[in-house]
Amino acid sequence: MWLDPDVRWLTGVHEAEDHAYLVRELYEELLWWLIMPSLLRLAGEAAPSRTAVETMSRTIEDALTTAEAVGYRVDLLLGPASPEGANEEDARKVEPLPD
Amino acid sequence: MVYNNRYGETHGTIDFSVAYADKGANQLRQQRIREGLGLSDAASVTLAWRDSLTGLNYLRRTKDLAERGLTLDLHAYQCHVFLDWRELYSTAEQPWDRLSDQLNGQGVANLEDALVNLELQPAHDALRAQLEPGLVRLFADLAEHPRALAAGTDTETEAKRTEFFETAWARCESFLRLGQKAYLALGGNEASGAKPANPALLRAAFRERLRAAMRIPAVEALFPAPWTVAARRMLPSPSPQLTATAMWGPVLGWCVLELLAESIDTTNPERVALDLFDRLRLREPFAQAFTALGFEARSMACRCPRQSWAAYRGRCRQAARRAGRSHGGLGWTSCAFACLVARSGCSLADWGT
Repeated sequence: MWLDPDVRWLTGVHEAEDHAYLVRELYEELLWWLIMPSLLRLAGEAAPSRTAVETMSRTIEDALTTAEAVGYRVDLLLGPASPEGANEEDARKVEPLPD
Repeated sequence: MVYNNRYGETHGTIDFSVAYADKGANQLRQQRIREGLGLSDAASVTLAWRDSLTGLNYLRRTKDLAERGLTLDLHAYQCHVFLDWRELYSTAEQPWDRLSDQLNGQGVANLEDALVNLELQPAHDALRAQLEPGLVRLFADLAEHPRALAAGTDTETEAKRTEFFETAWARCESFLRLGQKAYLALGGNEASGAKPANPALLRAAFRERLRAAMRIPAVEALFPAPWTVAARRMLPSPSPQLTATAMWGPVLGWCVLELLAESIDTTNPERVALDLFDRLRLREPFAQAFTALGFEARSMACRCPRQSWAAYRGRCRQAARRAGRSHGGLGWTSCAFACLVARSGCSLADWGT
C-alpha cells in the first residue's frame, strides 16, 4: 500500500537524505478514516461497546507510536527486512501494526 | 495532414478534393472525401483514425462523414497528421457507433478503453446522482439535526427524513443494479462465482446503514478522549473541521460502495469493494462528485507546507503514471479521497505490507 501514489500523497510521503518520510498529521487523518467502516458498524449497534471503541482508539495510538518510533520513515514501517538498509537499532524498534 | 499556418483559430470542413485534370474527358474533376477514402455506405460502420502527433484516436460514423465531410477546429499553428484510417463494424459487444456519438469528435488515447468507459457510464452517472450535493446536504442536515434520529418527535424533520431516504434509496438501488450488471459483464465474480443479491431486497440494509452513519458523531462521546483535529477532519463529528457536505459525502460514498460489495459477495465485501473500485473505474465519478462537494477548497499549503503544490503535484503525477493510472484533469484531493473511500475496508494491518 505504501507504493500506491494516492496513499503516498495522502500521507505526505517525501524524500529526504535518501529516505522516504511520511507526515504525521496526514498519516493520523488516514488512520482515522480507516476506522470509519468499523465505526459505522459500531454506530449501527443498539448499545455500542466501549471496549470496541477503546480498541479502535488504541489501534490508532499504537500506529502513531510505531510511526514515531521509526522517525516516520516509510521504509522502516515496511519492516526490518527493508531493502533500503535500515540499521538494526531502528529495525528493532519496529513493531507490527495491530490487527 | 491538416495545418493552420497563422496566429488565430480556424474552422472548416474537408469534403471535396482540389480539382484535378481528367485527361480522358478533358475536364477538371473533384472527389468527395467518401470516394477518396473509399468509405462504406453501411449505417453501422464507423470510421476510426489516429493523429500521429498526439496519439489520440478519433471516431466518426462513415455515413455522417460521407454526407457532411470532416469538420475540424484548429488553434493557432495546430497541426494534425491523421493515419491508420480503418472501418469498424458495430456489434452489441463493441458499439463503436454509440461511442462515436458519445465522443462527438473528441479524441481518446485508447478506443478499447473508451468503449469500456462507455459501458460503465450508466453506473458512473448513478453514482454521481447518489453523491449529488443537494442530496448530501440534506443528509448532512438530517444527521446534524439533534432530533433527526428520534422517530415521531418532529413532523417536519420526520417528513424531511422520509423524503431523503426515499430519494437516496431510489438512487442507490439504481446504482446497485447498474453496478452489479457492469461488474458481472466485466467478469468481476468469475473467481468467487457468487450470485449477487437482488437490489430491491437491500432497502432495509441501506436505511439501517444510513441511520448508523448518522449516529457516528454521537459515538465520539464513547471514546476515552475527544477526537483530535485530524479525526474531526475525516469523520463527522459534533465539531467538524470541514463543511458538512465535505464531511458527509465520503461517508455516503462508502455506504453505497460497501452495500454494492456486500450485494455481490457477503463473505468478503472489503476485497470486493476494492475490486469494484478498480474494475468499475469508480475513481473518476467519485472524484468528480467530491470535487462538486467542495473538496478542492482544502488548502494545499497546509497539506504540503515545505514545497510548492505544483512541484508536488508533478511528482505525484509521475508516480501515478508509473503506476499506470491517469487522473485526467481532476483535482488530486478528490482523486486521492476517492481512493481512500475504496481503501476504507482495508485493515490497518495492511499498512505494514
